[in-house]
Amino acid sequence: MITMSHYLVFSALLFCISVAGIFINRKNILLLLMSIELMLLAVNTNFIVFSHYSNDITGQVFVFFILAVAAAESAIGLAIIVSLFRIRNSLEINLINNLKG
Amino acid sequence: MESILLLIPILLLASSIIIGLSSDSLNKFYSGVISTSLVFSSLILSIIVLIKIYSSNDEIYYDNFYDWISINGLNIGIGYLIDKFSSIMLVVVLFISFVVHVYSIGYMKHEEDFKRFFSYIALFTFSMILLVMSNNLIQLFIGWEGVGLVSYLLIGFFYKKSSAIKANLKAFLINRIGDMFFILGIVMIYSLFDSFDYRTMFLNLDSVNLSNLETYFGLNYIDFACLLLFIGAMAKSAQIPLHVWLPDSMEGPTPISALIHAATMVTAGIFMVGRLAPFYELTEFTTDFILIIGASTALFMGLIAIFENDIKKVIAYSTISQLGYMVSALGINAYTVSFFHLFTHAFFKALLFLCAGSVIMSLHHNQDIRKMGGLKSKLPVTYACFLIGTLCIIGFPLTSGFFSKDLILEVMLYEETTISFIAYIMLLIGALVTTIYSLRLMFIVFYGKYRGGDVEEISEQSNIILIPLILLAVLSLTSGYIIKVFVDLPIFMYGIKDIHYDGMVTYIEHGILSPATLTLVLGFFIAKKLYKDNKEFLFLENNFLVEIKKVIKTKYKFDELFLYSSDVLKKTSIFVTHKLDIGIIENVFVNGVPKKINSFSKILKKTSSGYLYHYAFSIVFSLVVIFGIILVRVL
Repeated sequence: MITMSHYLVFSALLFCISVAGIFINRKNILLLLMSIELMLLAVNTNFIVFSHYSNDITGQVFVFFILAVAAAESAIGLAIIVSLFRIRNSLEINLINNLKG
Repeated sequence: MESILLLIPILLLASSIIIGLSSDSLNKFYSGVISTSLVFSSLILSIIVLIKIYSSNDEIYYDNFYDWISINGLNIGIGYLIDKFSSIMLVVVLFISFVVHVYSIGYMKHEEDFKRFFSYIALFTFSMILLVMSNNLIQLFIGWEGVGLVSYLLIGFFYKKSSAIKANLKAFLINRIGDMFFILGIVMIYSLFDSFDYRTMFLNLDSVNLSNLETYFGLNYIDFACLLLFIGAMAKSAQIPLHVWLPDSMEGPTPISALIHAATMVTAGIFMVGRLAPFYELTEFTTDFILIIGASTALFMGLIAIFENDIKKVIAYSTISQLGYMVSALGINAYTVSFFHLFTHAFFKALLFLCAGSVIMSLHHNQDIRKMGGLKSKLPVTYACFLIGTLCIIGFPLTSGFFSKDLILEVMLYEETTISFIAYIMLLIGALVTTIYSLRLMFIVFYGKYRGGDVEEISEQSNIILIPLILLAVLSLTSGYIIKVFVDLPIFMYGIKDIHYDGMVTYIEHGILSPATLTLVLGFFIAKKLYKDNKEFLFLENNFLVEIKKVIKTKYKFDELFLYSSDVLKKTSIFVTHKLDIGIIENVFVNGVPKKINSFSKILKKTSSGYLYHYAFSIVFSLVVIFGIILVRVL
């Protein structure tokens, strides 16, 4: 029997994976974007789970909004990455440290 | 009367400006003549003033030419106060100035800066007249500073000589020390009377309750004010320990030494104390101080003169010593006696200096007495004048010095206090010392054999040099006979000082029988034994005397004292700059604070690496920590 806690553990795992993806990944900025998307999905999963168990449809409605915003966001992110690539000819994270003090 | 009095200083100022600004087309001789004739007219006018004063009945001429500063009840005028005291001083100053003008035409004729010289001495005479005529302390102070300034300019007249520049700076600085005290004294007097005016001050003197005033360092108000004023006089009149500038001032041309550093400017201090006599009458402490300073100056500075080898410096030290006599007389409130010595001293000291100038000129600017000798036959007129000057300074009976110096010793003895008796003894020894150094100078310079090379080159100077000498010599001999004038001289608003004097004949008899004559005879034999046959080194046979000579030769280390104190001052200021200003204010506060901020930010800088994953990690890590803390709290 799959209980609510299974779902929650699953989404927590998903979140942790995405966080780990942000830390550990030092190669490609594209993967960073994907990790962020994954983070959002983990949060969305939580929304759906709570919405389902509390019989409230509002949570699932929010998920649609979030997905729409996330899509727009990643579009912007991709656009930034494209222009970054044009400038630098590389997407390596190690090389992007313009904010170094 | 007012126009005459106004004309006296104006003529001198005009002389200074005309000669100073005239173009090169005016030749030296004529500019000298113009200057001299202007001074001469001033002299004539001052003699007219003197006659008017003495023909009237104790009248005092007092008025302001104009109000110079007038703010809120503070009135400073430029004016005049002419009584017997200042009118005599006027004539003396102008006479010496006139004589020196004439002498300078001859003495300075080969100098390039002839006109500058004449402009300066006219300016000097103007300042001195301003000082003497003044009716208030501020005008006195202006004159006081004026003579100080011109003295500075004239000591450094040969400005290409580094020793002259050092000497004039020294004179100026030492005088500044005195002036600082002097101006403090003026301010103290002002705060007592709300006026700088002599007449207002002296008339209100009775209404001021002196016992109610504040005390300073245990001295009452008027003692302290008088002390400050006297310190000003000490610098100007070259008293221990502020005398160090006067011997060095001999770097200036010789006529200047005669005019400024012997006969007139240095007596400004004496004149000032005499002018403010009503204040000095009220103070016992300060007059005792004055007496001690005067007596020790008279004795110890005379001792230095015995060992000097520069003809001008010997006379310079003798000037300091004679000023000591005048100051001593001030110290027992015998202002007129002091003034009498000032009067006679002005003539014979100017005479000695001008004779020295004549000798120096004849020997082609050699001032070292070791290279002189035997000039008696070569320079007969100069010798005769120098002899008269010497006789006057040692107080040979019936010369002017005899009258004035004996009178000082006399009143000193009549005072009958312990301190005045000590001073009397010191002055008596001083008289012996005076005799020794004066005769030594004469024996070494004029007797024996010439030690400076070819004796044939030496010849007497022209008449323009010699006439002033003769004029001064005559006055040196005769000026003592008007002793009665000084005995009866009233101190302004104060009356006549009681001095024992019963006629000329009694006085002369008494004077000849006094111990001073003994010192004269003793001094003559000592000097004759030591110096007549050039046995200058007789002293060296006795070890004790050698030690004394060593001490005196150091000039009591007053120069070192000043150097040391300026060194201490310098070290203090270096300490303040380096340790306090740069050390604390600049390094700790001004530069220290930004430095600390900078180094702290350097540490902080390391936390911002610019790598995204570092930031992300720190965000997540801190979130975890915060949530952890909250969780721990909640549970």
